[in-house]
Amino acid sequence: MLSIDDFLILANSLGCFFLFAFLQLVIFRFLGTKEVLKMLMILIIGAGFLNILISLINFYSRSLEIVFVVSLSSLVLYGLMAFLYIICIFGPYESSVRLRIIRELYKVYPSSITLAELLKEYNSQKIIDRRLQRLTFSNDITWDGIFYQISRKKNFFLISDKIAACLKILTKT
Amino acid sequence: MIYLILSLGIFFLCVTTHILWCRIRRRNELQMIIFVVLACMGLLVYFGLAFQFCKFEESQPISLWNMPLLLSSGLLYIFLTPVYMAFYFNTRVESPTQKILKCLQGQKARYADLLSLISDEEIIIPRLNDLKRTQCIQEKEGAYQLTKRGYTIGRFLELYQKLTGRPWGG
Repeated sequence: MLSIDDFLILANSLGCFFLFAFLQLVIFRFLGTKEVLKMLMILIIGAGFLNILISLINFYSRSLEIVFVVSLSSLVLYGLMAFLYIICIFGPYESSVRLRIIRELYKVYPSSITLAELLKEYNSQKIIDRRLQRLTFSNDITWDGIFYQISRKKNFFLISDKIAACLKILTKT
Repeated sequence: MIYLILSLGIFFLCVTTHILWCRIRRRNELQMIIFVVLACMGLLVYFGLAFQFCKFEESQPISLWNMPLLLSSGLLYIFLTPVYMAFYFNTRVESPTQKILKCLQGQKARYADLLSLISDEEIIIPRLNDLKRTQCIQEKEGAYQLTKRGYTIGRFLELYQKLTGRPWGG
């Protein structure tokens, strides 16, 4: 049931995804919080270009429309894998408040901590600071010394927010 | 192409059915399970139809229309399902990053303004309650402690941290 075209598309998208994940694991060891978003975008786009290139090499002898469909399918599959990895594994580890609370409690396990002790280690100011650092370094927002301001009208968070808003209207949630 | 159209068509049918279901039910809770059920049914329908088409088209020469992309299209469907669920989940939850960006849309803001966007009561306490509700932590005499489930998650996070070498997130 697995045709050669199918196999090439799957191998290409899986290969590029594993390359992205491997590079992310290696490179991110040496990065601070603020560089994360920028490097993530560079890695995703870099592996995406490689994906298109491999598709073109694999299917160069076929007709233009077949090359287009195959390259697009492979790119979309790779993109979805990378997206799912980010929203299911990397993103929650890097920015989930719930997981951070679990880490704080894990640090003192089996004993317990009060709310005041927890807030001394992790609080809303730290949450805001980390996000401002990340957004500033990835050029999503800028800081002129006094004011913060959006520098890019379109970024992942705003697009995702718009999709969620549309879905909210549609589902009447 | 036929496989791609088939898988995307069935996926959009599932999404549409789910949206209609949410509008009819009008309950103040996320309807995740119903979407998972719909998506599983859709996947069965896709593979059923795709295998039939596969047998029918075996003797035909390969063209753009009948390119044999049965598995790629199936995987596309499978990956799109959690992506939709993530966006649907997002209709209920607003992350601190989204709050910051929403505040900055069309206006400048000082650090103090952004700081006032979220308070500990707004962000830490509800999450603590969530963790208590899902039995990841327990409260004993005003102090919080991990349960077995919470400890397992903490262990997994520690392993992931060793693997990635990243500092703590949050």
